[in-house]
Amino acid sequence: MNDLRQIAQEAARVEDELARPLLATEAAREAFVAGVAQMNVQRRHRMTSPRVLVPVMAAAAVVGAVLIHLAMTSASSPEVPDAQKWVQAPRDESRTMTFEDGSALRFEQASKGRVGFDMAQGGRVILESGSADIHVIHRDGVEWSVLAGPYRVRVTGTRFNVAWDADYQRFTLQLHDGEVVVTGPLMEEGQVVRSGRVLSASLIDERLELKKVTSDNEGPNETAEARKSSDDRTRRKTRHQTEWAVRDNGDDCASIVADAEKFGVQRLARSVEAQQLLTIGTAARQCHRLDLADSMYETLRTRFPGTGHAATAAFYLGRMAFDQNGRYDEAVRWFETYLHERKGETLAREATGRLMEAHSRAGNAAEARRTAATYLRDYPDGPHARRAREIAAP
Amino acid sequence: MLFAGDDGALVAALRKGHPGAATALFDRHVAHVQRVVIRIMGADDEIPDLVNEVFYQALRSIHSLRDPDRLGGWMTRIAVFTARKCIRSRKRRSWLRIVGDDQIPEPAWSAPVESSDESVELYGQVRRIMDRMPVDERIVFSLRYMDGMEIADLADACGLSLRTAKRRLARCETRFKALAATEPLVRMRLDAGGKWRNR
Repeated sequence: MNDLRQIAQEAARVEDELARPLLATEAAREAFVAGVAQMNVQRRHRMTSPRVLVPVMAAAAVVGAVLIHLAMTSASSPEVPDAQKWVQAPRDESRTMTFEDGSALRFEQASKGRVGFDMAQGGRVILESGSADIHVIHRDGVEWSVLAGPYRVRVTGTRFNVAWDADYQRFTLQLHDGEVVVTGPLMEEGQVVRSGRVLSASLIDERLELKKVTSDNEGPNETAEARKSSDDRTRRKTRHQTEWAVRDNGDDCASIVADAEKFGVQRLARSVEAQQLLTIGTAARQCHRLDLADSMYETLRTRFPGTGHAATAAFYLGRMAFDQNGRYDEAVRWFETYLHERKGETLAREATGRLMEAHSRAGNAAEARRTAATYLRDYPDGPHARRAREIAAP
Repeated sequence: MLFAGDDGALVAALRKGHPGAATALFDRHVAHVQRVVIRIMGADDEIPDLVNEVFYQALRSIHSLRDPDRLGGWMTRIAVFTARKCIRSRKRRSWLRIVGDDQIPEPAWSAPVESSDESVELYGQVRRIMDRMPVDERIVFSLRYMDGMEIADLADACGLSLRTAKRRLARCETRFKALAATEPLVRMRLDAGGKWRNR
C-alpha cells in the first residue's frame, strides 16, 4: 500500500469514528418515511388540483378538436400517432415522424417522449429522456415548443438536436439552422441560441455553456445507420471554440461588487483567499469600479506575494493603468512585474504586447523596439505582431 | 406494507408506488449511501439531510433508471452528485461569508474519539487539504484513497470513462502532494514514506 493511501485510510478510520453520531438511526428512518408520505401527498395534490386540471382538460379538448395528420415511420413499421402520443424508440433504432406541414422529428435510439401537433398551432414535443433531431418548417404565427426536462425551447422554424439526460440532469441543444430561445434553470430570462451553436446546461454542476461548433451534424432525414446514439454524439470529437463560457451567480460583476460592499470591503480584503480577492478585483474592474479593483489587486499582491494570483493581479493592474488611466510608465512597471514573476505563462503574450505598446506610448522608443523584437521572436503570429513590426522597423 | 424482492423487483415496485418500496430502498441502501456521502463531505453535520436528499432524489427520478439491476450503482451516482452539488453550493455561498470567531459553529468532528491525538490531527490536515482541492478531484481522492473504491466503480460513480478517471486520480495525487506542503503532519508522513521525497 502506498503512503498516500495509508494516510488516507488512517484519516478514514478517524472519520468513521467521528461520523458515528451522524449515522442513520430509527428516528432518521422515520423522518424519511414521513418525508416520503409528504411527497406523495404533494404529488396527489398536484395531480388533482383544479389549477392543473383545467389547462390539461382544455389542452385535451383543443388537441382532440384539431386534425392530426402525422405520418410516423420507423425503419420497420410506419404508423400514425395520436395527439400526445407516447413514443419510445427501441434501443437499436430511431423513430422518425413527419408532419403535415413538412416538419420532421426523429427520436434517437432508446429515447422517449410525447408528441402533439396541430396545423393551426404547431407542435409540442416532450422529451422525457434521450435525444431528438427536430426540423421545424417555418410558418407565420405558428410556434413549436420542445420540453426537455425542466427546459423549454421555443421554435418558429429551424433544425436542431435536443437531448436531456435525466440521470445526469444535463440538457444539450445543438442548432443547425435558424434561432431558438431556451428557458429553464440557469437561463430563466431566456437564452437565444443561433445557428452553429451548442448550448449545454448541467443542473448538477450548475454550469451553462454556449459554444460554436465547427462540424455540422446531419439533419433528421438521414438514415438511422448513419447516426450515432446521443451518448456517442456527446463523445464525438468536435472542435469547439468557446464563445461564452461559464455563467453563474458568481459571474455577475455588479452583484459581486454589491455583496463585497455590503459585507465591508476592508474586512474582506483582510480575510478572504487570494482567488476571492482576484474575483472581487476583476468584478470591480469589469464594473468600472477602478478604485475598488486597484485596492483588491494591491491587497492580493501584499497578502499573497509570489503566487500565481499575485502575478495575475499585476497584469490587471497594468491593464488598468494602460486602458483606463493612460499611465503608461506605471503600466510598464506592472507588465514587467508580471513577466518577471510568470514568464512563459498564460498572459505572457498579452503582457509582452502591452509592455511594448506602453513603452511606445510613454516615449521609451529604445525599450519599445527591444520589446517588439522579443515579441516577434516569441510570438511571430501574435495579435500584436503587426504593431511590433512597425515599432521594430528602423 | 412490507416489500420483498431483488433490486429489479424493488425498482418495479417503486415505479408502481408500492407503499413499502420506499422504505425498503432506504433500508437496503442507506449504509452504502451514508458511507459515500461521508467520504466526500467528511463528518459533517449535514450528513443526515444529504442522505435523505439522495433517497428523495432517487424516488423522484426512479422512472429514468435504465437498468433496474444496477440500482446500487445508480444510488452511488446520485450520492456522489448530491454531495458534489452541496460542496459547490457551499463554495459559492461562502466566498463572501465572514463570521466572527464566536459565531463559528462547532465542527461535528470535535466529538471525543478513541483514535490517538496524532490520528485526529492527521485527519484534520487531510480534510483541510481536500477542502482546497477542486471538487471533482476531492471526490475521486475520497472514494479511491479513503474508501478504497475500485477504479471502474469510481468511474461509474462519477460518470467518467475509465481513462478520465485514471487521469483525474493522477492529477489529484499530484495536487494533494503540492497542498500537503502546508500541512506538517501529512508532509512528514509522506516524506517518511519516501514516495514523495525526491519529487
